[in-house]
Amino acid sequence: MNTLGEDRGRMLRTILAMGSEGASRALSRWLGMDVRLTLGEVELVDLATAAGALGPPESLVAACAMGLTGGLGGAMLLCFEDRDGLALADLLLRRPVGTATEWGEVERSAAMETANIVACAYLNALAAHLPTGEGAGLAPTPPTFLHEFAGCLIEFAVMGQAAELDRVLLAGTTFEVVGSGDLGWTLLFVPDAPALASLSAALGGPA
Amino acid sequence: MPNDPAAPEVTVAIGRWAVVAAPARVRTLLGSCVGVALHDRAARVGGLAHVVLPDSRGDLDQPGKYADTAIPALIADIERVIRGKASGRLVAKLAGGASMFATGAENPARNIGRLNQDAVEAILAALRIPILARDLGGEGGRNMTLDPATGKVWIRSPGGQGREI
Amino acid sequence: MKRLLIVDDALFMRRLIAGVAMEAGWEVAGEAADGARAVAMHAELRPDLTTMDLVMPVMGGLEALARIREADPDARVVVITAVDQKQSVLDAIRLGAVDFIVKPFDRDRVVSLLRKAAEREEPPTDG
Repeated sequence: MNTLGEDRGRMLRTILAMGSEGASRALSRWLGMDVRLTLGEVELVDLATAAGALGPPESLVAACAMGLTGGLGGAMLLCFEDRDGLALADLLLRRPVGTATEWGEVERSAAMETANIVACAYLNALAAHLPTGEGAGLAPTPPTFLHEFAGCLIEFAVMGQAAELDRVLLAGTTFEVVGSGDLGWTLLFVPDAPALASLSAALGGPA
Repeated sequence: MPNDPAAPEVTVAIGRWAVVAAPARVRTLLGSCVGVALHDRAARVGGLAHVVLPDSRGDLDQPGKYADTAIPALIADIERVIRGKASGRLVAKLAGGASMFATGAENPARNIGRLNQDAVEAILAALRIPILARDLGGEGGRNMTLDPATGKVWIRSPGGQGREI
Repeated sequence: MKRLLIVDDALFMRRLIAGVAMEAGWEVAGEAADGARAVAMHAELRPDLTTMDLVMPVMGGLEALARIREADPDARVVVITAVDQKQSVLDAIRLGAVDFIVKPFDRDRVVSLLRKAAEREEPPTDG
């Protein structure tokens, strides 16, 4: 599989947009702010292109990494630069942004719980629109907090596809607060190769 | 890091390889992939392959992606640069092969790092290329740089100090 | 004062729920960060109510719910989770959960739920 094809690409984009909208609604409630999303490209890209999906591959990013359980395999990542992640923790802890300057236990926990809520909302929306087999019990694993080179993070995440495919798909969603601009957080949904195949099949028949 | 910060540096993308002659250097970023640095001390030429998976199973479209095709391709390019046979002249240093962050017990991708290491070591043993140093495993990414002037390899971890192997 | 056991792997969420509980007049008897610890703490503390997350390391919330109800058929457990899917709601109810709250929750709704739960179980004062 080297391209998605027009129909399957459109259907995959549609359902992933539903996931992103679910995530964005949950984030709005969680933060008590009006959050909008921007959906990135949903297309198969080569590995080297994928490595730049979070910016320069050598830049250091913080991330809450989750696997998937249930009908689909893969990974989800909520990624941010330290400054933007700490700002998130300040928002949730009802402190002025800029209060947190390093990742203490509470700040990490606030970021990880946000990742859990956003990933669950994304997967809830997918599950509601997929056949029972793919949708059943779809949930993220408990998140792991890590600091990593952006390129390595992507490399880890796409490994479940790279083992079988020459080109990989990662669906990115970025969030902004209406009126105050980009939050600097990116949610990546990276199904593994079997999950990508069953998503495509469930949406539009065989490849 | 090496003494000449202005020396040109070639970056190897995932699933690719590159060969350079001193004073240039070559580097790559590694997660569960394995970086294979081969060095010819006399010629001051070195190369780096970024191996994604252990076995090509006959797929010849992306030779740099698999251990069994990337290492021969890297050696062939070194031989082109040194204009001669590399046999008996090369030494290796390895880095990478980390485990993926925990994503559920059944995730087969989690063990790819280990499988990559085993494949690379077996291939180098068969080619009688000695492995002088290894910086393998763990759970974090690595930035790996080879300086063919000396054969030294620098490893940098996220947020950590660099180290030489 | 009614006693609450809070089960959630996220420290931040445990603090949030504890804040809501105290506002509703509950005492936080204990906190657990995984299902296995929750089962042990429930047996030890015998709380009036337990809030149970579903996605947790070591042991998930559904299994913990089943074990707690097996050991104590009168145990009252409210599931508080971000997994909002038909199957998980049905599983939780079948295993005996008394309520199912989706994160991110409305704070006032949880306060009123806890207040009602406290009132419902108060012994009659006029007899």
